[in-house]
Amino acid sequence: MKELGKYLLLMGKLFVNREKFSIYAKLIIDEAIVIGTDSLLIVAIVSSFIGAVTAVQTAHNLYSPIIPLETIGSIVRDMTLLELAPTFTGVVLAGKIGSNIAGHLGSMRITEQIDALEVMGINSASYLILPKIVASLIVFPMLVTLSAFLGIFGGYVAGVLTHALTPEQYIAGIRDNFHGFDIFFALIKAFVFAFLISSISAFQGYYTRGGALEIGKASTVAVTHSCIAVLIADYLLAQLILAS
Amino acid sequence: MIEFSHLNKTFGDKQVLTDVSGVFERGKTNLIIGTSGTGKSVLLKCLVGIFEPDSGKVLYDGRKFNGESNDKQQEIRRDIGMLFQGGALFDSKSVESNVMFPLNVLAPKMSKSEKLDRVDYCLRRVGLEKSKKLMPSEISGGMAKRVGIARAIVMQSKYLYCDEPNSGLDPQTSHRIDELIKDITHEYNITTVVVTHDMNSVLEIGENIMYMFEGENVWQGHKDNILQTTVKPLQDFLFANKLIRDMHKFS
Ligand SMILES: Nc1ncnc2c1ncn2[C@@H]1O[C@H](COP(=O)(O)OP(=O)(O)OP(=O)(O)O)[C@@H](O)[C@H]1O
Ligand SMILES: [Mg+2]
Repeated sequence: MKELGKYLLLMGKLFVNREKFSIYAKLIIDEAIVIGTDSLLIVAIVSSFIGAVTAVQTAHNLYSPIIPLETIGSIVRDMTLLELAPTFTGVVLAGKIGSNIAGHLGSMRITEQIDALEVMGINSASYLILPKIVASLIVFPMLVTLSAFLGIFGGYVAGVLTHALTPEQYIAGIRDNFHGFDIFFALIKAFVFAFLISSISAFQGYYTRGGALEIGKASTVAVTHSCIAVLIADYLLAQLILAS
Repeated sequence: MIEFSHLNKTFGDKQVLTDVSGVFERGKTNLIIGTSGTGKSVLLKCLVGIFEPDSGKVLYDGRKFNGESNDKQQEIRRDIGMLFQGGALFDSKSVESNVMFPLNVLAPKMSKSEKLDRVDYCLRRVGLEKSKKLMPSEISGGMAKRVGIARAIVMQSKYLYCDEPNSGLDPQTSHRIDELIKDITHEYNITTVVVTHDMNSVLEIGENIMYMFEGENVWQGHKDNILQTTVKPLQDFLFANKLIRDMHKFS
């Protein structure tokens, strides 16, 4: 509970006494490039395989003459858009970006770099954390979009290669009964996860105390807490938006 | 001038500063000496507001500092240059960008070439003009210290704090840094506070020395009077140095 209060106070501190916007613009672009290039490969690999596995398993489970084979395409699409792309990307990024943010801020804290910023009269919290959060908000939706695309594409490749269905059937399946809202929903998730992962990890890193050992601990805690937050938010969003 | 009175600071149940009062004068090199772990770095951090003292008062030329609003503190901090004990260089920036950094955020009106000139000048003063493109991970500890000094003086701040500027430096470079600190203090008439273990510095530039013992200010005065001290811990501290023992014998 005390942690939560400290976290909320830190979030409040991000928006007071900021530096000029021009200074932030450059920092945000730098961070966005780092986050994007760092995670592109792993997100691509994970998404393609998840799509492929979903297609193969669905094909295996649905093997019944009364269900049309196109259904495999529809199921891969829905699973990927609604759940797999945003959530898997979220969990993967919690590991990759979360530990990165916590480690970076943690080492800046224990080597007195954060103190140095403060003495220069700079609000270190907003200077260091805000760009990371904004960059995440920009990049995560892109990564989730990519992930959804590759997931569906992975399903296509796997489905066709295993002769579970023909390319035409798969395409027909993913076009059948498609709701544009699902994409919107995936992007909302991306935004929420982006904020949770970057802010929670930044919080852990920013308040690191001690030495190199504690940086490692802060990174681990950042990843665990971010993952849990992503999964809880995933559930709540599903309840809130899909059930209503 | 920096005045502070009755500063107390505890971490958990450990009392680190006990009722510390003192004055650091303008246009003088003020030194803080004392054994390792006695609270010198903590005192500096209380004076610049990285730690909030439990009680006591800090004034910068009469301007109240601690307990004031963020805005007020920030305003005073923009007049402070500080060298941290570990250098505290930004490890994602080159030597040159590190020194440039305060100018970029605090002096937006300066032109790019003015900034570059100023950075070059400061790096030359610490003897690092050839290393400006290197990253902090590529330089030695002593070099990192000197980059930290260049960064601390780049703004020509009114108040300059240096936490052990010459630890880890060879005697020659160390002497050069002492001269640099003395020169800019007198040239720009600023208030300089230097934490040091180096007896050479003490005897060379100690215009106003404060001796800390177990978190207390137990002696304050000029270098010319320090050898006559009757404070026992300070005598022990001084006489651990052979140079000073010899000087004492002959005087
Ligand atoms: N952030 C902190 N949390 C808890 N205790 C601290 C903290 N910083 C310093 N201390 C304690 O305060 C005491 C004084 O530390 P300080 O760093 O001021 O010593 P120092 O006089 O600068 O020593 P040195 O000459 O070795 O640098 C030490 O006992 C240290 O354990
Ligand atoms: Mg110290």
